[in-house]
This record gives sequence, structure tokens and C-alpha cells, in this order.
Amino acid sequence: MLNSEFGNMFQLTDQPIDPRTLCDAVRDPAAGGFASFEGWVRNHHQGRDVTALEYEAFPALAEKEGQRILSEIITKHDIIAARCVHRTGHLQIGEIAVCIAVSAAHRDAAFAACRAIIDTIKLTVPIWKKEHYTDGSAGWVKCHSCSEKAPDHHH
Amino acid sequence: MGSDKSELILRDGLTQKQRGTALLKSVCDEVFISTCKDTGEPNTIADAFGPIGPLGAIASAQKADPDSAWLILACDLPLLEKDQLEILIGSRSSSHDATYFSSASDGLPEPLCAIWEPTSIKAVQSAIDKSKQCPRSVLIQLNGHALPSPGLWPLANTNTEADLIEIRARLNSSTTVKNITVSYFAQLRELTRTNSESLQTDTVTPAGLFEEIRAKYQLPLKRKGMMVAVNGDFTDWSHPLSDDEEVVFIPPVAGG
Repeated sequence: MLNSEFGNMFQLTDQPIDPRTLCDAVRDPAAGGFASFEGWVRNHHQGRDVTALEYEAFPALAEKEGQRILSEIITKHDIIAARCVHRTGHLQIGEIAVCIAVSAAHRDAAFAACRAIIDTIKLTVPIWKKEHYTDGSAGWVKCHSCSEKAPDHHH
Repeated sequence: MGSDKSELILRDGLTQKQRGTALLKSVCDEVFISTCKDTGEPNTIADAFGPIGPLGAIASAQKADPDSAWLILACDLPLLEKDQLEILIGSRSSSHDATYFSSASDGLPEPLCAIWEPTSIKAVQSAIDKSKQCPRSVLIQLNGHALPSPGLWPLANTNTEADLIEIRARLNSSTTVKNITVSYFAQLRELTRTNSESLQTDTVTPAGLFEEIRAKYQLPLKRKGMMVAVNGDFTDWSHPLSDDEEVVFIPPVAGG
């Protein structure tokens, strides 16, 4: 999955994510700090029992937008490298939906950039989440805070 | 859009307010203009329930004359013609609480080109008392007489810059038919039961195209909160559509 073509800082994958691969990809002799974030599939949402999740992406634009977000955050924060991988397809409880890895000379920048990446990705990257519930029903998650922040005039 | 829509001049050298008034005068005995504050001018009705939008204006009119039926008309329907008002009046049923057109997009009542009978007063008041300010929700509860939709454009309003571009193109007859490919993801893919389709449209913006698609599939989704991409990149709802472009409508995202 995450091998030599790691020129793409943001990737989609339909295979399980191995966080160590991301960690290795941002490893650097100049790095003194490493921060990572993993988003996991949890078994409940707004009081309902969730049995599984499905992520669907608009692949071309999701990768382009993800890449743009990471490039922007790299220039804004004093970090050495950053990677993000987002899953698509059917996921079970406990699986990693999204994984972010950031390396920096110092910890403050690594933490801040990691946080900024996940927050921004949730706002604009065209990925959607469908929840399957214990009662057999399913629904697309409406992220209200995201839709309120969706830019009318993008970039 | 941050400006007074009623003062826009789109047709016949008249402001939307003047044109709406003229249209109404051609079919009604008396015409009043709803205002936020009391201007002291004749034939105006100031909001009696505070700045709560159109439902407050309707309630204020009903308060001014509770015994008459009110034909309520939004000030920003530049493509509306006298014909539609004549249909509305000709189909009026006073044994119902209201007579209205169904929306082309979702079949729900169009509250701001509708006749509100005196029997609707109670429901209007009760909604205002409960701080509910959506005139459409009030109409849904009432015993209304629903007329078929007059189509997408007669009741199109000028809420956004993109709406205005779409309406201006129609007024100038500067629309041309284009072939557009639309791809659907997530809930839109499920609701339309298709991944992608090629269609012909004379709309000039993704906003207009989305309204057409909403009407085609009766989609329960509105543009607000959504984004749009053309040829693989985010763009504005007012992007000028060209032949052979690829459009993707992006419902609220939920990654992470």
C-alpha cells in the first residue's frame, strides 16, 4: 500500500491502514518530534448503536484536496513531513478510518499541524460516511458543523 | 446577498418591488407592501411581530384585515408572469385554508405565491407563538388546495448570486443547450440510483443545473451546505457552464 510513491502526502485506500508505514514515511534525522492521529470506527453515534461504517470518496478530488490541505499546513507550520491516509469501503468497529503522521523538529509544531490536518480534512475533503445500525437501518452521516462551514466560494 | 432584493431592477426598468406590485394590481383589488418598519406610506403594512421574516409579514397582513383572503407574493420572483397569478386566482378554493402551487423541486407548498384564506390565521398565529417562522411548514399543516407546479423557473427567486445569473440569462434569452456529465456520490448516488449521467441542459450555472436535477429526482437536499466541482475541481455555484463539462454535486462531507 504505502510504498515508494509517497510523493502523494494524502492517499485513499480500500485496504487496512498500517500506521507504522506512515510513521516511517515521515521519519527524518532532523525530526525531534512525531505526532499522529488515528480516527477509529466506534460502535455508537448520537445515541445509536453502530455496527459498521462505509466510506465513499470522490477519489480524484479527495486526493487533490487532501494534498492541497497537507501542502498548506506544511507551509504554515514548522514541520518536516506529513502524511495522511483515509480508508474507503466497508469498515468494522475498531478499524482505522483515517491516519495522520507528522514529524517536526519540535513537538509544538507536530501537535498543532496534526490537529489542523484532521480538522481541515473533515471540512472539505469529499468523503462521505454511511453508518449501519444494529436495527438493520443505515444512514449517511450529516456533519452539521461541517455543512455550516462549507465555503460558498471555495478557494 | 446583503442587498435589498426588492430594489433590484431586472425587467422592464422596474424594481422587483414595482414589478411585483404591478403584477398584483392586475389581479387584486388592493395591493399592500410589507415593510420591516412603519414608513407611514400608504398601502404598506409594517411587521407587527418583529423581524421574523415572511411569516411575520403574512400575520401582519392578516391582522390588518382578518376577513379577507391575502394573495401573498414574494418580492423576488422575476420570472413570474401574470398567467401564473391568474391560474392561482382561478383555482382558488375558499373552502380550503390556502391555495398554492406545489414546488417543482420537492412537491411541497410554495408559500410566497399563494392565497392565504382567513381560516389560516389560527395556524399562522400559533406558529408565531411557538417561534416557528417557516411559512411552508404552516401550509403543510393546513387544509390546503395544492396546484401543480408551474415549472422550475416561474417561482425561481434571487436568493444568491448564482440564482441571479441564472434568472438574468433567462430574461435575456441567452441560454443555450449544453451537454453536461453529472456524477453522483454517496446519498446523491443512492437517491438518483445512478453513478453518472449525461444530460442536456439550458441552465447556465451549476446552481441552476442542481435545481433541475432536484426537480427531476425530487431530491430532499438543498444547495445550502453543499459544494460543487466542475471538471474535477471545486468551483462556485455561479461558475459559467460550458458544453461537455463534468459536474459533481458534493453533499455535506463527513470524512475522518
